[in-house]
Amino acid sequence: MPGVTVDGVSKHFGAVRAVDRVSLDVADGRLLTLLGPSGCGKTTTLRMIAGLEHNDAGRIVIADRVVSDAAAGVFVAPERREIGMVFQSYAIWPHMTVFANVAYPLEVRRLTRTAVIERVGEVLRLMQMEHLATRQATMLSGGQQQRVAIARALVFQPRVLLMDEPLSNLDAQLREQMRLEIRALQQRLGITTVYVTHDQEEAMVLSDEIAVMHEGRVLQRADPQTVYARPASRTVAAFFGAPNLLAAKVREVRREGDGALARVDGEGWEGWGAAPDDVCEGDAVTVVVRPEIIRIATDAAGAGNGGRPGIAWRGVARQRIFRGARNLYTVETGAHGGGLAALRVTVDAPPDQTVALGSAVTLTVDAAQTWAVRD
Amino acid sequence: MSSITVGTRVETARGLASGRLARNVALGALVALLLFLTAYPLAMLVYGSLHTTPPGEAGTFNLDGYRAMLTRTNAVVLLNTIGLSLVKTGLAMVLALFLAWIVARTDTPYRETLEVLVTLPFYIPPILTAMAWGMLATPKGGVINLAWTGLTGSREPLVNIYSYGGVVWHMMQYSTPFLFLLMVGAFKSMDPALEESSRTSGATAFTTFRRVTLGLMLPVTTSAFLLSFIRGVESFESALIFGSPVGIEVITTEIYHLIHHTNRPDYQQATALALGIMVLMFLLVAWQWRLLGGRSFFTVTGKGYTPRVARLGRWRWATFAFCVLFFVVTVVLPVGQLIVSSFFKFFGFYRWSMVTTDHYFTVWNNRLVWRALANTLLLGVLGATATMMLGGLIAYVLVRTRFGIRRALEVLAWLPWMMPGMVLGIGFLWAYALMPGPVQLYGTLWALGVAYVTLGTPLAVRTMAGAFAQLAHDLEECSRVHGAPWWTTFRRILLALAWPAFAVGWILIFFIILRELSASILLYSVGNEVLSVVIMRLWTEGKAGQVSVIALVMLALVFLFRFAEQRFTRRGTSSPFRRSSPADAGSSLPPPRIARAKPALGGPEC
Repeated sequence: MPGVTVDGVSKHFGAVRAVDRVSLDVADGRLLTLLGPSGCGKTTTLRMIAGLEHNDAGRIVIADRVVSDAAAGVFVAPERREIGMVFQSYAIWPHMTVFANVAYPLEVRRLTRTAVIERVGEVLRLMQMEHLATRQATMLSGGQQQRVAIARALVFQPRVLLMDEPLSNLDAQLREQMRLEIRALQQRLGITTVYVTHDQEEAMVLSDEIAVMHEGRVLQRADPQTVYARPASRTVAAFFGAPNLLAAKVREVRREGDGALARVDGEGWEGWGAAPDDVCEGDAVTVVVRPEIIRIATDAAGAGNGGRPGIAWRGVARQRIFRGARNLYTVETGAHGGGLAALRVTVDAPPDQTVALGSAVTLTVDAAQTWAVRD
Repeated sequence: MSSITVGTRVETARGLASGRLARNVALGALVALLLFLTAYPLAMLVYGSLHTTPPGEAGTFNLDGYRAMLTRTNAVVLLNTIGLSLVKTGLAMVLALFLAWIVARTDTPYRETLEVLVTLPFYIPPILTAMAWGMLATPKGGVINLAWTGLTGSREPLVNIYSYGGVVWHMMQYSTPFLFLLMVGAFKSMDPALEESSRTSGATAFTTFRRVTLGLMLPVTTSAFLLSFIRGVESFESALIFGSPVGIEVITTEIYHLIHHTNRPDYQQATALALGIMVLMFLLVAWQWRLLGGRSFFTVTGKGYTPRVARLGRWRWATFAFCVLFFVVTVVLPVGQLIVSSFFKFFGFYRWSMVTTDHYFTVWNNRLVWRALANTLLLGVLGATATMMLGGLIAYVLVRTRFGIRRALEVLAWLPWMMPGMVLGIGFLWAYALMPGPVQLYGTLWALGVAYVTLGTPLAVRTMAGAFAQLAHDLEECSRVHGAPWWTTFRRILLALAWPAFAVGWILIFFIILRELSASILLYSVGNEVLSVVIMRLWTEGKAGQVSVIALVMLALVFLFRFAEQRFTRRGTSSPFRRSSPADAGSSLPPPRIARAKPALGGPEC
């Protein structure tokens, strides 16, 4: 099956471990995103798959062919790996026309002229770029360059497509449009794809699976929903949006069908939160509470969890940031006067729900929507 | 992964092995070639300085060459060399700074034209202007002195080019436009905000110029000064033509005379002197490196700023006139002199009855001249092509790879940079004499060709390295990933994109070959003369008219290629892979992001 397997791959730059024993596999026709902040090793991993960097350790297999095995001394040159790649800068050759750019991979494979013309026409049609075939590559907008780069990567029907932050140079609106287009195209062609981005939203829209990377390692690999709702660590949680990360201790664990509930005790608050199975009494944990799932109310009665287990805080609304579609409140809660610093919780409330600054509020959240990870 | 087939694996391993082998063989060949071109003649200098007899003859080894070197005469020669170069660099620097300021930072009219005019002398081979000035400012019969005595009735000539002043004056004509080229770029690429913030901080225009503008220029000025000084130390033509006749010798002319103008050519002492000048050059370069922190030259990099322009009012016509005067003195006068003397029977007798076209016919019927012209063109075209190809390959290894060998390549390719043509000539004399096997280069045209390639290599490498460094790595990697092997990528992407730089480098090296005298005069053999050597010979024989005709032919070549170069650079600046060109700024579409994406050596980057 034409998937990609990365097995214990490492890369050093001098003393820096850019990639540290990374293992991944992408099943046939799936799209895996490598997600992480800059410097996390995601691009280096992608470049090792492409053969643009030599891996110091580990093995890479593309479509059942070992293309790199550091231990066995196997290294297949990039041009023999049969992959299509879209670069962050698009790497459109400025001295060629659109047609010549797209035809290049076919020409170096010595296809006949008729075959080249036919194939390029086909792929340009697919990318809706047919009318620009004779245009000089420098006379293209960013979005058009993007399409040419994708067309060029697909024209020779590679087994695997690699994309290195392809959307980061586009403006916000075009980016959202291209996201959906790339996803639709990838699913239609059923091409195995490895996609690199630092944009969490992009990763969630596009991916079958996300591998979150940090300091050269894969912290978590799962489908977008899981990575978002059930992060494997505090670092992974922090990478998606700006959640409240509240330190707490586990006092009691109640195992349930497909998970666990933990009674957690923070600084001046306590309650029940969802937790991984292996959490134990006495563990120090971080409770991840996303701002958009917190309910805010000015009276105690309006809050409450309706009997379900959860967490509640009392506090004072200190700041409001109007964001159009949402209101972002900062609520000071917890250890009033106890000698401890006040705990700040951010709440992302709907726009019709306004709370006067300085008023006392109650915050509540259902246990199932929180997540307590060990530090 | 249990389904991995063994077959593909074997194929893979074999493909890899051949790739690596081919790469290592190619790298090895490149290193061997460079060793032959640069390290070998250098090593042969040491050998020759100890060898008692001329190259190719049996002899013993001793230190006589060095002993003979330590004389009072040679001390004077050393002082002459350094003193002349220092004075000419200082004067040329002041002049160049002023001219550059006028062109880059004032509202003087027609500045773009002035810039072309002021830099023009840089492209004229010094040997041609030397011949011209020899006719213009000789005490007896020089046009300037004839005019002076005619106008004032004075009996004393006004100027005498055969003097220290004459040597300095002639060297300056070449140095000033050279320094100007370096300065004007720095003046132009300066961020105007740096000066504006000085003004808003309360400094006057003059204080700003002194403390901010010149302060910012200091690194460029220093490195340009040193560069020009080094070039002065190794220069040959000026001192040979204006110094030697009146006993003013510099190291290069001293070496030349030791071989050519003594009863028994003293190769040993000449070689020892050549090594001596190498040591001097090495010290200078080492000093330069220390000063510039490992760089050979500071460049001011900047975006296409629009620099602040000083409003000169009525004075702008004075500055305009100054630039025009510079052009007239350095180009119009010498070229005019060459044209005039090509039409007069005898030099210095300018009467209507003396007008003739005989010189043209003599030259036309001179088989030696035709042969030299053919040789020069052949060597120029082949030499420039070979040098640029070699430079391109070396530059690729230097800029684009991380092979351990590239440091060695860099040093080898840079060595000729501090080898004056005269030194290289002697080195190759010994090198050719000791060539193993049946390959004999001496006595063939290729004796010169090889030396020319060596002389041009540093420039070729720098030109191509600069061009390659501007190309984003993505452009190359993208080609590899999409199926093109290295050589195809190099040809179709890198060379195709760096083509304007290649063309400009080619023309510059063609110029170097065209004007080269000091190595050629040592390495030519009968039947393999080049134009500069023939000109020099005719000059010594006093045939000013024929010299002028040949000089005009060479000038025509120079202007032709200079014109071509300008077309290439103009195309180059508006070509898509140069950043911030006016053409890009004008288009509504954003240019592709192909500016250097990563530093050349790469690094951990996500």
